Amino acid sequence: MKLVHSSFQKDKSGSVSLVPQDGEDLWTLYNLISKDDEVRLRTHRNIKKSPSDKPVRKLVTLSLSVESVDFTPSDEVMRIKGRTVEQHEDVPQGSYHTAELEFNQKFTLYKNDWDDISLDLVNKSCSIEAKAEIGAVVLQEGVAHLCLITENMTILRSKIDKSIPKKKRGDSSAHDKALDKFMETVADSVIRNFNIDKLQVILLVSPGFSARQLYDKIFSIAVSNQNKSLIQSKSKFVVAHSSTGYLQGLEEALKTPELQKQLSDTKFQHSVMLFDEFSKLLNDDDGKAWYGEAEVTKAIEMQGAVRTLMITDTLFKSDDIAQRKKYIRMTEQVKEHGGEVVIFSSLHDSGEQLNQLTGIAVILNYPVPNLDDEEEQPVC
Amino acid sequence: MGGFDDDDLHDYENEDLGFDEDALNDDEYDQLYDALPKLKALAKNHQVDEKALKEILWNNYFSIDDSFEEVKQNYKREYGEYVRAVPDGGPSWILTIRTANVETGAAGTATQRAHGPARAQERGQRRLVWSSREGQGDVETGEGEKVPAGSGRPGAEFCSRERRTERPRDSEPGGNRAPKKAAANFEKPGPDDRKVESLTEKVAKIKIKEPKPAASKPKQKFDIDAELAKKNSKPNLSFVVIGHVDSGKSTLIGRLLYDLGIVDSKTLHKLTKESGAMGKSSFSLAWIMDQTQEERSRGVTVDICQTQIETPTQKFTIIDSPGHKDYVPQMINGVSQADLAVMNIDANSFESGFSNQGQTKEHLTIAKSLGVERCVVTVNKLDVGQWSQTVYDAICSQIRQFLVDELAYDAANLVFVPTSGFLGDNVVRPSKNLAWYTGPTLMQVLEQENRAISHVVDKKSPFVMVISDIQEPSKNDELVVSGRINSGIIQPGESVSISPSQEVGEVASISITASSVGSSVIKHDLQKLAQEGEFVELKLKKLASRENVKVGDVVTLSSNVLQPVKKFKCELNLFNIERPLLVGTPFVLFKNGISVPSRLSEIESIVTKDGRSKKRRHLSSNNTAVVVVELLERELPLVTIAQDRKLGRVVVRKDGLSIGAGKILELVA
Repeated sequence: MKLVHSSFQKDKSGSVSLVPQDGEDLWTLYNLISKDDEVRLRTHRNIKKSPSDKPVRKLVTLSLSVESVDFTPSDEVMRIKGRTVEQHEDVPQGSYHTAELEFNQKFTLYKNDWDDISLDLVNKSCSIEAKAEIGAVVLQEGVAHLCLITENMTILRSKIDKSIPKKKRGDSSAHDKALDKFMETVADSVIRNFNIDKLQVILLVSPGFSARQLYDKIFSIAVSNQNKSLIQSKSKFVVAHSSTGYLQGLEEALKTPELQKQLSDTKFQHSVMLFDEFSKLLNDDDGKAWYGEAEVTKAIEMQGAVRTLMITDTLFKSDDIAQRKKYIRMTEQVKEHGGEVVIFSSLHDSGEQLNQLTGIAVILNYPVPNLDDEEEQPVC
Repeated sequence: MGGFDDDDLHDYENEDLGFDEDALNDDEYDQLYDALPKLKALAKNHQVDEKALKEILWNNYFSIDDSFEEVKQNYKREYGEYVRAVPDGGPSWILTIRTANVETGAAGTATQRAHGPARAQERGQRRLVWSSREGQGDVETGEGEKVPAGSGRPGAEFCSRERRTERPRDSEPGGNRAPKKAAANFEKPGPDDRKVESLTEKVAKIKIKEPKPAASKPKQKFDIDAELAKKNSKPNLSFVVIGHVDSGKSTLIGRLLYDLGIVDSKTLHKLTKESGAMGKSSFSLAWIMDQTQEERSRGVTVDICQTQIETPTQKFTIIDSPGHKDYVPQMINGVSQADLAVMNIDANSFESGFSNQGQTKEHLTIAKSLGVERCVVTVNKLDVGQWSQTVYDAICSQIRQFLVDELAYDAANLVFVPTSGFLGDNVVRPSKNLAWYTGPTLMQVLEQENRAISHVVDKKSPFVMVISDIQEPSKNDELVVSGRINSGIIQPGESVSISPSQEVGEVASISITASSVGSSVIKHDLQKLAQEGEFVELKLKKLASRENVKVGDVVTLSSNVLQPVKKFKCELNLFNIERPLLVGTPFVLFKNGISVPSRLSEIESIVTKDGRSKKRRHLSSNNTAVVVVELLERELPLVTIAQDRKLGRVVVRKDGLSIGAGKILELVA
């Protein structure tokens, strides 16, 4: 995202002008824009001068007081619904309007209260560091998932599902033929779906040898088609291991030490590892891992106890300002006492898992048993 | 630009002013549903549907009387009751009133608002309703029950005046016959109405059923009992060979087939030459089962391989399973088709298989969890360890302890056999090297087991088969599906339904593939019928779209369709796990030959030593809990444990480890 202009007042109100550039930015904006913010942007609207006229589609610049924001990650479409706050030549003040946010179009966002989380979102998404985008294929015999992983999203690009006849004693040709066809389909799909030049790494993940077979297939196709750029990107392809070819195999692969090294600077890898550590501590049951708002609140009150606060972006998305403020205070408190705050994106599976688990959890520096004392029994 | 009032903005907000039930607030909703039954009762003689009633109510601010008047005005009675209520009433005057109404409405609007009539008309609904309400007042006056409601307005005045002037004429005895006839005509339903009515009647009679062709009858008539008795004279035993990787499972089966004469020496010679060329001459026997290029070059079994053999008195289905950790899913598939597990153990590296990283324990746990109650343990590769009895005894006691103490196997259901698959000792031929062992050979044990296992078939039970393999013949509407029949019987000619796609087809033929002892020919025998427990290939025809059929789908008779579900409740037994199972944790669910990604969606209760414990959002090692599981990618036809002892079981794996087993208690729609 590009930051064109920003101005903030002493009372923390202010506006920023931004230019979104990709789907990732839209997700950031989805989390940034909340109810009652003001958005000024150019948008199309059907305008009728008088009731009997035919509506004319016109490009107008409107300021909207936001009522709701919708985002569909797979289509990379974001819509902002709100009421106009200014009188316009063609659009009366207070009219409802739904604007679609477009790439490479400047818009201005005014907020009454720019809190740390919001500012952080803007800063991070506008930093000039290259964004890590990773392609991944998770497969097993007969099923393959092609996905794109960005900082905040895992997007399933394509799924290939084919039944492969079982081998038979005396004759396995049907099996071999079907498997070869399947690999070819997946390889073709990889070449077609991924912009390999743009991607940092392409992971091929499977149980057994399927990933290796796919790797061989991709490059035998590349050689026979004389696809030079693909052959040159050979080093970007990484074969990794998982126990399943379903999407969850991806997270499993990310936890392996080899991949950790390769992807150590990516945020989603970090959240996968953290969540895994959290789960392990929870299983050890020594009072170092807690989840749930009440428990986490108590842990934060014990200053310095929290090592890491994990919280999903869904909680900040709350329309209730008091709610949002409360969570922001929690993150500030943790930071004040030297703790780490990690915001999980709910578009990654780790975020989704945390969401299911109340959306907020902590790892403590030292064991604190019975944080949930008020209830009848301790956890575990 | 000024001149916009609130109402205009309102128009912008909802471009369509129509009634939308979902947009009501709670208060309105309550009012609506309070008033609706009363209005319905009043308007029961009118041809008006519920949706229209709701709309009318909303337009009249939920006033029942006003609404009913509007109904009367705008909807035809089913019978000529309207006319009866005003005897000799003239359609003539009704017509007049109607015209008057329009005028009143227009005039009213004009007086109330500054906008022109065109605007009013465009606004549509609301205005019209309003005007008709005014009209209602007039009708009442006409009947002489009330003072005209809109008497103050010129239009209403005019209308009621006209009404009065006409009335005397109507009430004249033996008055004008023409209006009477007209009235009578209006009483009857018009030609269009009749058509609509008769259509409505017809439509009402149609009962919407699952679209399915009439179930076809079996092709041939014959004595089912005699056929079944013939089949049961040669009982079939299905066993799966399981065990840690490289314990020699495929070699053991290869040896069994070779020694029984099912694989001839010519074939073996060829395999020996090929394997020798790759520097893997010891794999020659294993290559009988491991045929794909991948399996041969890597030297591991990747998928299960099933083969059937027939002795003079018995039949066996042998399932070879992969031992490699990555292929446990396939092994689970194999176990789900077996009555008996043959656990193969490498006597020389027992520890590595029996450790927590090995597959010996995992395989046994899975077998037990999937309802395999009998187990034969072969302690293999004894040739490498100088046929040591001490080694054999030590292994037997550890395995027995594990099976009995931890997996609760009945000690009487366990048999131990020392073998060498590579050399063939104690597989089919008794061993000369195992002087200390006096028991039966593996083949003899299998024959005993075949006799011991109950083969009682309930021919009344519903036909259910899970598809484990699919082949596509050249014809587009045909499909060959194979699998083991879970229950019931099936005959060619019967029509079947495949869940979850609900694809319907007809069984064209049933065949069983097997080899007889002493012959290397693989026979494909056509069957008159097939019964529970048999491994069959069903050739299906008349399928609408065979692409929808997948491995793991369930075939039933088309009279007994299974409904696929997305969620189910199950009793989950967790094994030793390193990470707790949290609400929301994804895992892979194994169920009869297929695996589906799933999520733990709810924990209902956790069973602890002191009964049920409190609500918690995660499960840890060895917990038993009642949970709700959600299937993530597809719907599946499931069967509860009460309906089928085997089909109702599931195994759960995560990150390459088996973490639990469950029994399906209830399907959640």
